Amino acid sequence: MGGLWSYFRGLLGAREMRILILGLDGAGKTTILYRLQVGEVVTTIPTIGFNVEQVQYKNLKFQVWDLGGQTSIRPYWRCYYSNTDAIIYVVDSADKERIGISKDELFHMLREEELTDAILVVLANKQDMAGCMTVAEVHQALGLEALKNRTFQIFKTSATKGEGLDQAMDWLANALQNKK
Amino acid sequence: MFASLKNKIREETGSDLSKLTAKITSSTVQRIDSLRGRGSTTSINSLVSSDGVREDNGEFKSEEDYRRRLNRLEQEFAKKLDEKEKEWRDALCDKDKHVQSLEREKEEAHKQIHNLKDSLKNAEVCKQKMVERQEDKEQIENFQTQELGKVKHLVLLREQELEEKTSSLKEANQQLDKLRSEVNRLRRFEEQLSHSQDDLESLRHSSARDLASLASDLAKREEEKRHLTYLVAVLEQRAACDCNSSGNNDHVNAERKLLEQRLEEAHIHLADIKTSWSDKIASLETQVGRLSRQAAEEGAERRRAVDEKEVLLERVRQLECELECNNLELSNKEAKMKRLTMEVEELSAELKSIRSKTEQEVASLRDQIQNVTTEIKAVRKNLENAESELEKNDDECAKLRISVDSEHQANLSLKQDITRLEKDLMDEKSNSLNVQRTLTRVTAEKNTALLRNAEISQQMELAKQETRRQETEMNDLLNKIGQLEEENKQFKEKETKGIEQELRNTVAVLEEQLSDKNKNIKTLQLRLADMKKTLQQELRTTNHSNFYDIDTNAAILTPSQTTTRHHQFTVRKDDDDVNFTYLKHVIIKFLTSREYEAQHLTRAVATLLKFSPEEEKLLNDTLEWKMSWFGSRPKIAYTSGVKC
Repeated sequence: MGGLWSYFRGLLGAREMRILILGLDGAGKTTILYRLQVGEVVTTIPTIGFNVEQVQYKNLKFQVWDLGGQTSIRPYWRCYYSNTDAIIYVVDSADKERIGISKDELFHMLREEELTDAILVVLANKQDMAGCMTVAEVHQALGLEALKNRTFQIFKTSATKGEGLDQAMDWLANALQNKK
Repeated sequence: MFASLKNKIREETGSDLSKLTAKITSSTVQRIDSLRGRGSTTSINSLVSSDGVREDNGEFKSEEDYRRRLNRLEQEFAKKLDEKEKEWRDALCDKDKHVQSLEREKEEAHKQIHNLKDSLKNAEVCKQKMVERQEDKEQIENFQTQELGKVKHLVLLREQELEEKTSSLKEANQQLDKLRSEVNRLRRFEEQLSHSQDDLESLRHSSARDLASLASDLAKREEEKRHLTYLVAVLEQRAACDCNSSGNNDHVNAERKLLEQRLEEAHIHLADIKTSWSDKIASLETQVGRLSRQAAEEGAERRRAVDEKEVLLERVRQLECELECNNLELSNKEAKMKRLTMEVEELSAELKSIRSKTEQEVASLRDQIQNVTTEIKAVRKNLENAESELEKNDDECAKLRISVDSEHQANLSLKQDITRLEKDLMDEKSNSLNVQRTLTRVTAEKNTALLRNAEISQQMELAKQETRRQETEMNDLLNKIGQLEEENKQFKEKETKGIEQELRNTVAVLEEQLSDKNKNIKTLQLRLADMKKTLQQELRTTNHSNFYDIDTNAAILTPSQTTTRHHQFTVRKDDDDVNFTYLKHVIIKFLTSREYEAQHLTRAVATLLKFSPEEEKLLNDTLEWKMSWFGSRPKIAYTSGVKC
């Protein structure tokens, strides 16, 4: 039955790409999601739960899941890993104290079997804040040089100013099309 | 034994034995504290303390120990004494040196004092001299002031003289100026004088001529007189002859007498004439002088007059010329006047005729104007039409101009292209020339390269031979290396065996140490438990009255259980709160979302509600059934009544 459904979906149009936005609480995941969807900055409250939105970007449809990043609900991330095409991992560049926790969470997540084929996009967010870490520093702090057999890219972004998101989405769209 | 023990204590505690013992004997509570705090050192401390206790009790005394200790202490003290003595000696030596140096300094200071005294004396002498010099100087200054006064007085006098002299000089200059003016005046007089002298000379000349003429006259008269005297003498002779002749003598005498009288009269008359002549000459001379003066004056006047005459003549000539010119102009003007009057008359006549004509014309023109105004109105209408057409034409013209400009631009761009292409052509021509040159060069190079190739092939053959030789050498070397490696392996095996044995020994030692430490820890934990128990007992016995306090104390004593429980509880409560909200949110989403999304949410719901795998499968199947258009409903293997 599922095969039939997917067949009909194939007839109707391209399959929706399933993307997860993950990261520690307060990294700016929800802001990025709505920036991508509506192109505006919305006022957000801490997400206890998740947000799902359809995002159209250059004739590609994405189903973007923004999962809450608080410590107590982080273990539930793994419930959403199946059939995921890409992960957008958001890091607060100004939060130098918890970058270690962020790194641990990232590598814990990447160890999951269901995510072996997922493309990784790391966003060094909040680049507009004074005294934030640069992209190179974030790259080093997350230990991304240790990643092998993974298509990934790091971008510097500012969700409130909308800088860097377009480049990241361009790269992601290209990577997803190449993967197909 | 004790020595080694002491050393160990020193190493571990970093303090002396005596201090430690003092600390330990202070109080039991502190001992407990130290036991708690020090950890591994506690056992040693306890041993030491027991040792101290032993000494206090005096149960295990032995003279040998005392002696050893005494000896050791004496040695130590002797060493310390020696060290101190050395230090003191060094210090003494330093002090002696210091004293010597101070004495030297003192002597130097005495010498300096002597020198300074000498210099003081010298300074006093100098001071006296200075005073004398100052007095001399003051006297000299007085003299100088007096002399200065004198000099000033002299200078003033000189200045007055100078002023006088300057005034006299000015006067002299004025006189000089006057004299110069006079000299200028006198120069004119000199000229006059020269003129008058000339006149005088001329007059003298004339007077000399007159005198000469008068002298010639006088000579004539004297000749006449001589003649007359001769005549008289002749006559006397005749008379004498007559006298001789007697009769007539008387008569002749009478005549002679008459003649003599006449002669005398003539002489007198001559003398008179002479005097009159001389008078006349004198008067003439005076007259000549007067005349000469008059002549000079007249000459000067005549010259002036002549000059004036010439000037006047010139003026007259000029005036005559002007007059003639004016006359000519006058005649011309008169002729013009006549002509003009004639013309005026003619023009007036013409004017009259023209006026009559114009009046006629004006009348005709008025008629024409009326006609023309009507025509103009018509023409204006035509003009308006024409203007509208013109505007249209202008618009067209502007359009055409724009098109023309664009075409011009196109033309320019085409020209530029042409020029570019021409440049390109030139470049390509030059390139082709270069290429041809390079071709010739390359062919030459090719020939040379072929020659080289032949040489290189020869060299290659030689090199191949060398490589063969080297290969054989290589084989030899490889064999050698194999041998060396085997030797190396043997050596290494030997070395590794030795290291392994060492490491095993160290491991054994370390394991022993570890077991000791573990034992120590166990004993310490036992002690701690005992201590806690005793403390609790004591506390219970002391505080019977306040139950609340006991409870809190107990809580404090066993914090690991109660507090952690409480903490866990609170954390769990917070977690539950968050989890509950999360669960609520997920369930709401699950219920409200599209089926495609719900399929992704089954896992989350299952984990949140802690479903069994069967329950999760049931949920998945149900969802798929909902999404599909046909198929059977999955069996409901789960009902709350059955499984609970």
